Parts: sequence; C-alpha cells; structure tokens
Amino acid sequence: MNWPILTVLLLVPVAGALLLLALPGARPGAIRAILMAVTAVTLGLSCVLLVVFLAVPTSGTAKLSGTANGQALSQVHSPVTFQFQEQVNWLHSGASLSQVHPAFNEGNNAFNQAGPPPINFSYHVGVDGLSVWLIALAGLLFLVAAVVLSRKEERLRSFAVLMLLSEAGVIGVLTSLDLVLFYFFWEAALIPLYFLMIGWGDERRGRSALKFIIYTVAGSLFMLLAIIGVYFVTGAQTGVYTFDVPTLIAAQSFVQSTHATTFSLFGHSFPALNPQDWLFLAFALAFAIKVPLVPFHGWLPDAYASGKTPFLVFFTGIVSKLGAFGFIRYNLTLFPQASHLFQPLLMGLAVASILYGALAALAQSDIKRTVAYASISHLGFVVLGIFALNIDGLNGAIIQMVNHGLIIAALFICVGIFEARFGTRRLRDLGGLAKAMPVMAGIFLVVALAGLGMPLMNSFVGEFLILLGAFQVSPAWAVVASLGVILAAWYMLRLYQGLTQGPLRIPGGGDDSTPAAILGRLGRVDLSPVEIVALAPLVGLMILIGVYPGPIIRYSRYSADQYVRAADRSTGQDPVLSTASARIIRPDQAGGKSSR
Amino acid sequence: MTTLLSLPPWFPLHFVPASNLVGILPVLIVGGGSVLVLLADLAVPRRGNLVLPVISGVVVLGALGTAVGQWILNATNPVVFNGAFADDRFALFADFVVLLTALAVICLSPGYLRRRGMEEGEYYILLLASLTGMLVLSGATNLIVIFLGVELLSIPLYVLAGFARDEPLSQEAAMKYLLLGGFASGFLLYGMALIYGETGHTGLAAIHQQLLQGALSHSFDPMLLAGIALLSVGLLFKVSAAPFQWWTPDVYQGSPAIVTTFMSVATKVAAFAVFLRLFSATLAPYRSEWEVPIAVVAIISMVFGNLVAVAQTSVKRVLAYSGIAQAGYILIGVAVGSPDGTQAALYYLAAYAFMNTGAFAVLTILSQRGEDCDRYSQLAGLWRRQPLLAGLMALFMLSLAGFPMTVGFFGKFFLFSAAIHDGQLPLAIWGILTSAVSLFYYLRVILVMFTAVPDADSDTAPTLAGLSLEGTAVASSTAASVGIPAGVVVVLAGVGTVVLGIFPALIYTLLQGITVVHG
Amino acid sequence: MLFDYLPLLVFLVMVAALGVGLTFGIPLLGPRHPSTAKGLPYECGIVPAETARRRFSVTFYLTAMLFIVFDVEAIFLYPWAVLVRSTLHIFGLVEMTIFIALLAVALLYVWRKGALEWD
Repeated sequence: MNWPILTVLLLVPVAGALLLLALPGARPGAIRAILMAVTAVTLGLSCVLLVVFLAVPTSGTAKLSGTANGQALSQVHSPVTFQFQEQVNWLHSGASLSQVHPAFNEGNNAFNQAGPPPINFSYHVGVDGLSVWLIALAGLLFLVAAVVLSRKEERLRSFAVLMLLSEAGVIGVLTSLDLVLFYFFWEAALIPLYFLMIGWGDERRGRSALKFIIYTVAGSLFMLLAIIGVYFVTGAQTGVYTFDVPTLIAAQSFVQSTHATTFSLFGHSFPALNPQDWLFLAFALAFAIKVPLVPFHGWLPDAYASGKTPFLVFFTGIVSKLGAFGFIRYNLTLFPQASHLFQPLLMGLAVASILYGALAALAQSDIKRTVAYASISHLGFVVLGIFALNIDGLNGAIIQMVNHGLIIAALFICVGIFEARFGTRRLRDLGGLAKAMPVMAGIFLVVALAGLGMPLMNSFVGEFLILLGAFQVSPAWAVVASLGVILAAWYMLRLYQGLTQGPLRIPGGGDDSTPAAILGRLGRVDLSPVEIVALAPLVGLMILIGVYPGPIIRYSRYSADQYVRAADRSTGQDPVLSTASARIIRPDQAGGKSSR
Repeated sequence: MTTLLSLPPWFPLHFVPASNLVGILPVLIVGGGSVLVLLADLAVPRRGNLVLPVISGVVVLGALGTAVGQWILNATNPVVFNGAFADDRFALFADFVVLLTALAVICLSPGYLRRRGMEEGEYYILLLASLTGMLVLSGATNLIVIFLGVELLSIPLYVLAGFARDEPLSQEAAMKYLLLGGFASGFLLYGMALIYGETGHTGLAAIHQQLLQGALSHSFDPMLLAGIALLSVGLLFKVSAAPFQWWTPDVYQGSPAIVTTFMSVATKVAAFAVFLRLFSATLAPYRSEWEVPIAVVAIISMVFGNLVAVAQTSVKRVLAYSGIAQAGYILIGVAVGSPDGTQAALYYLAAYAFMNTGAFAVLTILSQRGEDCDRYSQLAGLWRRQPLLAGLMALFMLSLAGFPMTVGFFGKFFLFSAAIHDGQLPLAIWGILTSAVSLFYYLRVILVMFTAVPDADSDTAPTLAGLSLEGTAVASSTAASVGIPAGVVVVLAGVGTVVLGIFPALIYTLLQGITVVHG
Repeated sequence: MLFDYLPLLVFLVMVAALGVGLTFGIPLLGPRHPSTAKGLPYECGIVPAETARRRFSVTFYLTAMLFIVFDVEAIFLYPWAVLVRSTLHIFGLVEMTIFIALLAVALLYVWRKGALEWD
C-alpha cells in the first residue's frame, strides 16, 4: 500500500472539524450529518487498514538504521514489526550551539565535554497487530458516539468539533512510532477532552475535569522526563541516540543486564534499581493513571459520573484503553528487564484493582458510578493479563481491551438512557422498567451478561485467557482475581435486576402508583430507532466474538507473541533471540489454514 | 580603522570606525526614534491621532530590519567599541524577540490608551527609550555598558508603571518599582565594583581571562564571589526570580495592562540575555561555584511562583506569579550552563514572548475605562461573548502550562532535556512537579471563561472587531471596537504559538548557528 | 590571602564601634536641660516665622529640577571650552553642537509642554 493511509486517517477527523468550523450557519441536523459522515469515513478507513493488515500480518518491517555498540541494528534485533510506516523528519539538530567561545575549550574541564548528542525526532507512524484493533475500535466507538449524540444537544457544533479532534488525538497516540510524537498526541488529546468535560455534563463537571487533568498530566510529565531519559540512557549504553520507537526497541537487545548490585532492607536483599527501572516506573505511572489502576483511580468515578453519554462512549471505550496500550507498546518493549522485575508489583496492583473496583461497584447507589467502578475492575483484568508476560495472558489482554471498549460503551449508553428518561441516577429510585421498556431491558440484559463474563459472550474469552496466563505465573493471584468474576456477576445482576425487575418504580411516581397508571403517564419511553442503531453493532460484536472467537484469538496471538518476545529479552545476553525465535507463531500456522 | 565612506574631516564618523556605528545600528535607530517621537509629539499636540504610534512602529520595524540584515551578514568579528558591545547572533536573537514584542505592544497601544483615557505622547517616547536600553543590554559585553543598559531600561519603566495617573494602584506600583529597582541597581553596581576591584577590568573578555587563571590555580577568591553574587542578585531582580520577586505581583497588577505586557516580556528577555551571556560565557570557569545557587534560585522560583499563583484572585497577579515561575524554568537553562542549556533557555524566551504577550494582550483588549481587566468575573462567560478571544486566551494558558501543540511544550522539552543530559535531574523533577501544580490556575482561567456566567456589567467589554467565531461580531451598542491592529496582534500571537508548537524547527534551526561572544 | 583584608576588617570594626559609641554614649554622658528654644527647628539662629510643613506649589519643584538638569549639563561646557582650540578642533565643535542640539530639543519639549508656565 503506497498511499499514506495512516496520515489520511489522522487528517480526516481534523478536516471534518475544520469543515464544521467553516460552516457557522449550519443547522443541527446538518452538523450531526457531517459528524456521522466523517466518523463513518474514519471507521471505513480503519476497517480497510484492519483487513489489509490481517491479510498479511507478518510482512511488517522494523525499518532500522543506525548501529548499536558498533553493530548495525537489523530486523533480527526487533521482535516487534510495524506496517504502513511513514516517516518524515520533524526536527533535526545537526550540532548544538556551534561555538560559544574559544575559551570554553581552554583547559576548562567542565566545558571540555563532547557536545550534546543531536536531538532528532520525526513524524513516524505505523501500526502493528496491537494498534490496528484499537484503531478499528476507536473508529467504531466514535461513530456510535456520533449516532448517540442528540441533535438537540446545546452547542452541538462545538461538541462535534471537539469530538473529532479527540478522535484525531486518539488515532495519533495509537499510530505514532516516535516517543516525542507519541507524547505530543498523548497530551494534545487531553485538550479537547478537557473542553468536552467542562462544557457538557452535570454540575460537578468543572471539578471532575480538573481532577482528571491534574492526575493525567502529573503522570504524563513523569513520562516526559522518562522519554528524555530513555533517549540519553539508551544512547549512553548502546550508542543509539534516538526517539524512534522501532530503533529503540531493537537497541534494547544490546542493553546489558545491570542488576549486579543489591541493597538489603529488613533482612531481605533487593536488586538496586538501575536507570531502566526508574524509567519503567515513570512510564508505568503515566499509564497506571490513565488505565487507571488502584490507587491512581481517584479521577475516574467523578469523570465518568459527570460526563454526557456521547462523550462517555468514546472516553470510557477507547481513551482508557490507551493506558493499557502504553503498557504493552512501551513498558514491555523498552524495559524488558524492568518488566520482569516489577511483574509482581503490577500484577498485585491489577488484582487490587479487580477486587477494589468490584467491591466499590457493589457499594454504589448511583448507577453511573456502579458502571464506573465496574470499569476499574475490568481494566484490572487487562493489566493482569499484560503483566502475566506470557502469550496467553497478553493475548487475553489484547482481546479484552477490545471487549471492554464494546461493553463499557454499551453500558454507558444504557445507563445514560435511564438517566435521560427518568432524571435520576439513583438505583433505588428506579425499578421494574422491563414493563415500560421491554426492548431496552432485553439489550441491557445482553450487555450486562457480557459485562459479567458469561460464557458465549465476548468477555468470557478474554477473561479466560487472562486467568489462564496469570495462572501460569502465580496460581494464587489467578484464584484471587477470579473472585472478581464472581463479584462481577453480583454487581451486574444487581444493576440489571434493580433497574428492570420487581415492581415498577420511577421518581415522582405520584399518587396513583399502580403500574398501569405509571405506564400511562410515561407514554413511550422504550428505545428509539436511533438508539437501537447505536447499540446494535456493539451488541452484535459482543455476541459474535463470544460465539466465534477463533479468528480474533488467532490474529492477536501473533501480536501477543511479538510483545512477549520483546519482554523476554531480559537476560541481555542474547540479542539474536535464539530461544524466542523458535516459537514464532504465525496466524496461518496457528489457525491451520492459510489466510493468503 | 575601516573607511567605508570618504567623509569630510569634520564628520563625527571619521573619528569612530564606521563598523562600530553599524554594529549598534538597531540601538541608534530606536534611540534616535525616541527623540524623533518626542519632537513629533510637540508638532502634533492633538490627542488621539495615530502619528506617534505609526512613527514608533516604523522605527521598531526599521530596527528589526537592520537586525535581520546583521543576522544575514553575520559579521566575523561582531565586537565593536573596543570590546564593549557585541552584535553577535546571540544578541540579535534577543533583539528579534524584544523588537517583536515592542511592535506588538505598539500595535495594541492606541486602542488601549484611548479606552483607558491615557493618550499621552510620552508613552511612546518612554517605550522607545526603554527599548533602547533593552537593545543595549542584549549586546553589552562590558560591565559599564550592562549597567547603562539596565538603567536605560528601568527608568522609563518606572514612569510607565505609574502612567495611569489617577489610579492609586498604579502610583503604588511605580513607587515600589522605583524604590526596589533602585535598590537592585545598587546591588548590581556593588557587584560590578567588586569584580572590577578584583580583576582590574570591566570588559567581560578580560574578566574571563582573569577567571580562567584563577580557576586553574584553584584559589578561592571571596571578593570575586561576592561580586558575582551581588551582580546576580541585581539581575535576578530584573528577571523577577524568587526570592527577589517581591515587587513583581504589585507592579504587574498596578501598572496599566499594556505596560505590564511590555515589562513582563521584553524586560525579562533582555535581562536574561545578559544573564546568559555572563554565566554561560564569561563566568563559565567558575561554574562549579554558581551552578548550585542558580539551581536553587530556579527551584525556589518554580515552587514559589506556581504555589502562590494558585491562591490569587486577580488575573494580573496570577500572570505575575506565573512569570516568576517561568523565570524559574528559564533559569534551568542557565544553571545547566552547557551550550544546549543556553539554547533551550533562548528557545524558551522566544516561546515565552509569544504566549505571554498573547495572554496579556487579551487582558489589554478587555480593559475598559477606569479599570483593567483583572478580576476573574470580568473573564466569566467570555466564550459566549467573544469566542475567538476566549479561544486564544485558552490557547495561551495551555501554552504557558506546557501542553503539546503549543510552543510552550517544546520550550519545556528542550529545557528538561538539557537538564537531564547535564545530570541535573532534580531541576527537571522540580520542573515537572511544579508544572503539574500550574495547571490549577491556568485551567481555572479557562474554566471561568468557558463555563461561568458573565457579570451584568461586563457585557460592555469591547469586541474583537469582525473576528468572531460565530461569524457575527456581537457588537453591543456600548462596545467599542478594538481596532484591527490589536486583533491582528492577538491572532498572530496565537498562530505563532500553534505553528511553533507544531514545527519547533523554525526557531531551533535559528539557534543552531548562534555564537555567544564576550568581547 | 584572606590576611590581606585584615586592615579592612579592623577599619570596619572601628567604624561600627564609633557609631555605636556615639549613639549610646552621648545620651548617657551628656547633661540634659531641655527648653522651648532648644526644641525649635534650627534655622540659622532666626526664630521660625511659621510652620515648615506648608505646601509649596509643585511648580517650584518642577522649575528647580529643570534648573538642575540644564545647569549640570552646562557645566560640561567648561572643560570643553578649555580644550576645544588646542586638541578637539572642528570635531569637538561638531560634537558639542550635537550635544547642544539635544539639549535644545529638551528645552523645546519642556517649553511646549508648558512646564515653564507658572500657572
């Protein structure tokens, strides 16, 4: 494929936003139509990308140049390969501040150091088997959000513009292959999200938005330092000074193990942290806040409770996945040793998130908050799978990222519909709604079952693989984590039953509280065709993936394998990956029949 | 002696090498322009016409063109007047930033002065006089010339700070600035005297040679160190770094907004130019002595400025404390001391000029008769009234906070990268911690503009003529038009903030070939 | 090397001792006989006619300041006058003309701005 599909994918939402800005007099209907068209085009492009990628998933290259420790970097050093790469120079500094004064070189040791290594970064984009799924998911969720967006929404045009800019930011984060570019999109995407949060939502939205931004940016700033740190630390150890992700990944093969020194505390001896470990922690902090993992989740319940439904569809569906994506793309590949060193820590946090999220979800009286805490619990599973650091766990994590995107978006649409129809989010104010809105109740049942990990629903596949992977590492934690599945059944059914079963109950029921009277007053409250259209693809995919998970497991397994091999380079002794390359799994082999 | 022209024997140029005068041409143009404006002010006594701002603008443009010409010619020996002044690219870069800021301020001035009822010709005279001092300062390579520049810069600003003559706050600002500024000048001069007493020179190059010998023999020299310390205090006062910042909030708040715009950006750039020249070149041999104190000042500035800004209720004070914090960030580049630190500091200064001029320009535009735009409530609901202005203000706030897509991000990126490369990790860590804190107050401005409901009385604020996002300029009957130049300035500052935020190479490549000389 | 500064230190100590000694010594040692005449502001021995805290017209200060400015600059002419024939020649004349021209601009400015008007 010769034309720059990723750049086009990135620019389509931006162009849509500019188009909307250029049409000041557009009617709400027209704005919504443009928004849907743009997001649909983006979804189409991302599907093309996915299909073309899956046709030949193994043809990616690492496209490496440069030498590490005198040895030319080649593809063999890079376990992770990327396709559809585009690279344009962004900033190239030949040499720094050329000459300050001849006196600098005169016998003054402080200034006799060699000039700083040139700072280069480029516009480098590409996808691998991890990001194509998420890009497709992003395309779908933004389209769903556009469908859900009511044309009566106030300041509709601003909302649409900001939504499209968010989409561009998300796609940028998923496609960038240069650390500076990645950080650029990572932070820039926050700007439209912030404006969406302060502009639309309940009366506490200002606080929620500020909390979200402060949490995220604080973490991200540490990541910024770590990005600069990776540049200098990798450069000092291997001679490769670059922000280019494929090159950095390959260069890690040359980083020698340095856990020789230890220190002792309370009678145990611990390995002293080397620079890579600190960098790992800085990256992990940023991603742990974004996911979020307990105890960095403080922003999430407020943000999720305050937001408007269309915003929450993509915010909860795809933006929160970026943290998990970051863990896989950057922590595993750039810091293989540290990934193994901190595996217990991250798995512990993941299990804590699973249990805390589930228990907190049970304790909520607010339906939106219940779903918010459920999200924490589900994302804990994703991180647990990632840091199982084996193919099953990672494979499950990748699948579960997609699944969670579908489920949480659908859950928030449903919960948002209840809130909009009845003006309350309190669980005890509502009940028996299956009588008033049977279609809604049916769809909500499917979504809730998917959320609790019912077999034959999509979530089951992911959680099963994750627990399988975790069990191989630590049976105890896998058992504890599976408590989360049981609790999920509890809080999901509590939500479902509370809302739809039992006697019909709505706020302000009036004197005559017989069901017939309430139904008569309510009139038609069931799902509108638009809402069914929005929910249909999500529910359809949940069932499809649940019933026939074969293809997605096969394809993501290839990616999972790549990342596991990247993380397994922790010995630092064998840059040629002799052990790992023995078990490359190609989708065509794994699936038994050729996809070509 | 260069004889470019054959001159009559009585012509003064004959006695001064022409290259000297060419070297200080921007200074001459702006200084002469100041006198020209003074005469023009006498010739056109009628208030409110545009003669003076137009002359001032042309003068600044002329100086800018000259500086660009000097940059292109890139003199091989940029030192003139026997090593007292340098028109090297370092100085020229600072000149660009200062002159562009001055140009922006001159474009904003007529409308602002008319709305505030302060249309006096002296305003432009003093502005150009202060600008002359800044241009002197950026190229000064002699202690005497540095002092000359500092005083020439400061004295007109003392007057300008009190330019709103019937406002007590403005008077207070002028008095505070004068007293504390005089105090700082005393420190500066005492430091210079001690350095001169110890080295026997006022030229920076000669001082550098002395220091090299001293550093090589590893002898401890208390008098010289005291001199450097006092000199630093004087300059740190001018850049408003903590703990020498006490004047900043009061002066920034009390001064007319347009003066604050000029003061907060141009003064800081000029003072940092001489600071960088002194520390990265002249005092480099003593780096081990000043590295830690400067780093400590940088950290104090970042922490103090950002923490105190959170508690402010006045927008101008918020920006004043933010300015203190920004001085701290730039000091990272000084403390690092390496060439990439200097480069990063210069980059940040250019970035700062765009975003801070823009932010203050918005306040300038919103200021009404008798009162500057200063309270949060005056910004409330700005988004409903003037979407473009609110959007631009939000952009400048995000840039000051260091978000990507704005020039502030790469400013911080280069500074932190220089600090990390130089092994000054604590500076970088303090930098990011305080950056996170700064979000509280920068985002509060945005929140107020975009969500709060406007006051009943603030609907009379002027609108940005013809530049409304909704396509319909909401011109209520009382709203005065801001005028095209002011609107253009704010929009250009916004465009610059975004374009430089996406293409950092535009400035970075300029900085590649920079040389710093000191005579 | 620090030893070189010892005289300076001794000098500083003496200055401080003298200042402190005079400040606190005189009230302790001297006799005190206060009277009305002694409490009056000293004005060349003449009894003050009225209070000194009277407001003067701001024009006094303005004129005084202008006088000082031009007075100080006029002093510059004396050394110039001594040297102009012997060493400076025509160059000196041109330079001084420029200088005087600048002063003239300043005077013109002061005049046109009305600073020389008494009312």
